[in-house]
Amino acid sequence: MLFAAAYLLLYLATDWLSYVRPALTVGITPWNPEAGLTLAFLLIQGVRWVPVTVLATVISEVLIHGNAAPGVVVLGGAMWIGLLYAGLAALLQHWRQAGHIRTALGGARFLGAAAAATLAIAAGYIGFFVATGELAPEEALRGIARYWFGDLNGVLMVTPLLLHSLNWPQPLRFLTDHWRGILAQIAFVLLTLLIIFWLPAADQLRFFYLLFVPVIWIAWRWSLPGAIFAVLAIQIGLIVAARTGIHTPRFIDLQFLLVTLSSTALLLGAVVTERAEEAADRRRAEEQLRESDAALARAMRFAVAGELASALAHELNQPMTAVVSYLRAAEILAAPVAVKEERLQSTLSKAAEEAIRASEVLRRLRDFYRGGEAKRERIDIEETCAAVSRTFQERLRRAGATLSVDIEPGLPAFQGDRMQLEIVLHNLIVNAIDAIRHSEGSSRRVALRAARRPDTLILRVEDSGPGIAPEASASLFEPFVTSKPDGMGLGLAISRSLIRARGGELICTRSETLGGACFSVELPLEPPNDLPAHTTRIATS
Amino acid sequence: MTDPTVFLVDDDASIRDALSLLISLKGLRASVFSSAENFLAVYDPAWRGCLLTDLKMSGMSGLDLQKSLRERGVDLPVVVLTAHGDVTTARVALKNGAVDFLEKPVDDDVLIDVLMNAIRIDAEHHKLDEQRSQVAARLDALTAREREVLDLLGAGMQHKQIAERLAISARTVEVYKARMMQKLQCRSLAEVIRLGADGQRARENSEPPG
Repeated sequence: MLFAAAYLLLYLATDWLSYVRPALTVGITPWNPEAGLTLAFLLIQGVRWVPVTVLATVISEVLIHGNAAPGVVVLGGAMWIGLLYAGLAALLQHWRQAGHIRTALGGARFLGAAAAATLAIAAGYIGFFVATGELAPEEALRGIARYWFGDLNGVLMVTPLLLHSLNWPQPLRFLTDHWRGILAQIAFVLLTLLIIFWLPAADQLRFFYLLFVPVIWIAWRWSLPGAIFAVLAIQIGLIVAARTGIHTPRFIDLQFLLVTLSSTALLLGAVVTERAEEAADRRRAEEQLRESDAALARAMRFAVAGELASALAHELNQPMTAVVSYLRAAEILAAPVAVKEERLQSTLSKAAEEAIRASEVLRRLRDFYRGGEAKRERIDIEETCAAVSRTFQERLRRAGATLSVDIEPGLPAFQGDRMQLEIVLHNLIVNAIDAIRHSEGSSRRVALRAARRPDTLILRVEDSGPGIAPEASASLFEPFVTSKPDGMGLGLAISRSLIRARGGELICTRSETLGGACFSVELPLEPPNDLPAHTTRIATS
Repeated sequence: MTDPTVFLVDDDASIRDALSLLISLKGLRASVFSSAENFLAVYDPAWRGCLLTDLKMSGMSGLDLQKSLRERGVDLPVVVLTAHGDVTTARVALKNGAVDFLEKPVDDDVLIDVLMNAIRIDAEHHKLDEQRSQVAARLDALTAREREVLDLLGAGMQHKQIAERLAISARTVEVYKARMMQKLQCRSLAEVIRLGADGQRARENSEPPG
């Protein structure tokens, strides 16, 4: 209700302000901001508020325009206007164009629909006056064109402005951040206007195109809201010029100029907005990709440290066990001679305790890296494979290789730790790409396949490389075994640990389709329940 | 090697050396094997004591060895040695009938306690087996008639009823009973019947292990 009252007041105020140089007797002005106000009101408040807009039109006709036509004519005209704006608002809502204009298509639709609706309003309104004898028939065509341009101008400028102004804090911060540039642009607009109106009226029209320069500049720089403000400034400038009695060009020329300026600003602004949003989307997507890459790298580092700690703990614990046992044996052996040197036995005992302590440190080190529990989350295999293969685009390009992803349709959702699965697939694909590096250019191929056996999910990474040498296959999954000059030899060990911790198995065979190595991850679809809570386990067995 | 012995299987030479030294200093016999395969190759059912095996070995694992022994019907108690943190595998070993598990590095007192306990279990097994085979031998010495009388007594029949059933005189039943009690080295009827029932069970069970 408050909103409706504000609308009514604003309507009357803007109508009064813009009521300059009325043409003909029906009160036609160069631009009708109140038309844009009406459409914005209906878009924001809803089409059912049409009666308020009809009331506003009637009041302004009588009070401001001093329309002397019979009440029924005024009311009929107002109802016609209200009906068409309601229809336009409904159509824009149907296109989901009721809020900001964000795309070029949105801008074009808004422009087209507004042009059609205002033309219909103008034709109907003028026709009404002609039919009731208020306007001479020979004036009709001129009247329609002027009324049309006036309303269209108002709609093109004021409606997007009001819709954009719904989120005020943003433009405010924007203004304070960029006030220097904006000030320069406003100065530019004012200067252009001054130059134009300083010229004699006959030359003004020839220099109007100058106004396109600041409008295009501002639209390009600040997208749609900026463009709207630029045209608004020009419109206000024109009104001020007209009000202060500066001689201005013909009415219809002025209107046409304004419509062209508004359309240009609207379309250009919409295109710039669309591009900016596309760029922002792209940046967000890239940011996300970088973040997931970083998360994968972090998880991978942790897994490497865990595997390292695990292998180290196991390898050192063996001699430690021997040391403790030897020392305990030495204590027993020393018993007879300890009579002479009583410190011997306690020294041996302390040595054994220290060895046990060292072993404890190793245990804690490994437990620390085993700390994280494997998550049980729903994994979409297709999406995971796609995400992993996306991270390899650059590497594949550099290696001159192709990666084909082949997912059996209808794979069930899988319960497990997505990050762990990504680590495994990542390791296997890295190995595959390394394996094909020395192959012929045309046959550098890697394939990632996912398929389902009754209770098992099978993920395969195959390559067209030379395959695994028989002498290497025995120790393939052992930690610190590698064929790469700069490799740690942990990738496969970690991968097998992770897969086994989930109750699955990682095996290596020869690829039947590509001829190189084929690593198969076999995972039970129902994870066993009595698995340890560890994320990694010692890979050697 | 019928004295109780700790059969130690570990693929790490220093651990074999150190643990066998410690075990022998604690007064137990120790015999070492570098792999599960080596142990199985020379295993003799007459061996008494217990098996102390590492879980993670390059060839056959400790779990494999345990499984293989079970398949052969060997009931030598198994104690498994685990690297620390490998609780899951240790749990599987216990589920499969291992007597206990020890974490490396092992403390000598715990080690000896666990090994002694395993050896005691083996000795009990062995004693039971021995008793069973003795009972079986004594029962085997009975004639068919003496055996029938034993079974019918076990079923709770009176001498008169047994005589009727076997179509012999009650006096003859008495004679059979006395001879049977002498062969079974029993002094009371209750003892005779219990022994008969034991024998029955032994017959119903499959061949004694080993």
